[in-house]
Amino acid sequence: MNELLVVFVILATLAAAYFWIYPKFAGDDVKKMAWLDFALGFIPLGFSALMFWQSDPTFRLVFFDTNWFFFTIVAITVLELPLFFWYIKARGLGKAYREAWGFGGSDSREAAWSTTSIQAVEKQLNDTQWDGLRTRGAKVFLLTASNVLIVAGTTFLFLVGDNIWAALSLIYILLLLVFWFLLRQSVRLVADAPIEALDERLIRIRDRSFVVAYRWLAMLVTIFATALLAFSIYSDAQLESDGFSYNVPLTWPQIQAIFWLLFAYATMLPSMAMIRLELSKKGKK
Amino acid sequence: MYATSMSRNSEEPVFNQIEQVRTSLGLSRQQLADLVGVHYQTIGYLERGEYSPSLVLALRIAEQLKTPIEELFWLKEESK
Repeated sequence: MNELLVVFVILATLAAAYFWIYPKFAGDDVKKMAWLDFALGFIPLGFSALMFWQSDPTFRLVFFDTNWFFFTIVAITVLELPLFFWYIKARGLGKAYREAWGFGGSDSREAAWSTTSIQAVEKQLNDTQWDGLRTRGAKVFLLTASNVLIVAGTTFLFLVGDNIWAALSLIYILLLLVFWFLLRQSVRLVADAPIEALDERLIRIRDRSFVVAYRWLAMLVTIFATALLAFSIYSDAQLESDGFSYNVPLTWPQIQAIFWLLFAYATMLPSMAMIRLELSKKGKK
Repeated sequence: MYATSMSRNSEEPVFNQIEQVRTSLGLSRQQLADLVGVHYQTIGYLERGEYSPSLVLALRIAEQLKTPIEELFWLKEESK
């Protein structure tokens, strides 16, 4: 019953938002719409808090039990998404929305996958503020340091126990984000740029970088898959093995280690590969 | 004969006189870049022979510099 009450409040808020507030106060301004959306989200959330903060009843979320906060957040997301896409499509705001949040500036499928916008790339191509990151020495440092960081962080997370040292993983994640940012600045976002932002030379460099990056990623995944296979074969040799089921004991930091290793390389490899290609090209001269 | 003596992926340098023609016409790199639709750094790479343009870009540059393409680009260094 509590669930229905929350859903009703959400639906009422969404109806007011999408059929009155956004068309009247935001129009085609996607940033204003996003701010209004953020503010209006507090109505059902505030209602749930007022009603259920003290009693804290259990909310049934399809297959799971949860509390009022997560139920409200998930329900808002699930109920709003179809309405949001309908609104964006009906008003032709897809391109403006992607541009506003830096996810490509075109309607092309490739731009939709890009993690940067045309404007951001154009700005970077003329940028001199970050030229310190584009020297040979800086590139060698970035390439070496980012790989050392990933390997060291992964090793640390695999070895750390359930103690205060595990909190250092936050510093590792923060450093990963810093190096991701610096690597992208070093290659002027070209590795992640949509095709519309680049000319034929830059497209050639970007595409070549992705070939190299894919080969490195393939090697990494192959090592992982081989290790898993080796583990299963080794387990089969144990007396207690039934030859079919395997138990892979992983701690929370170890799961983090695997996640951040794959995530870091998946996001950073194109820029790393581009730097590597630039260094090898300059080295040949 | 020509094809078999070359590696398929060899990046054979293309020599050009873009810089000379461009400066004689009083065009900056940025202006030429805008005219042919590339980034100004790409013009620099082309002029230094560090990048070989596509046929389309070569034709566009030749058109903007009002020079026959075979006079603007060539393959053998000694041929000009």
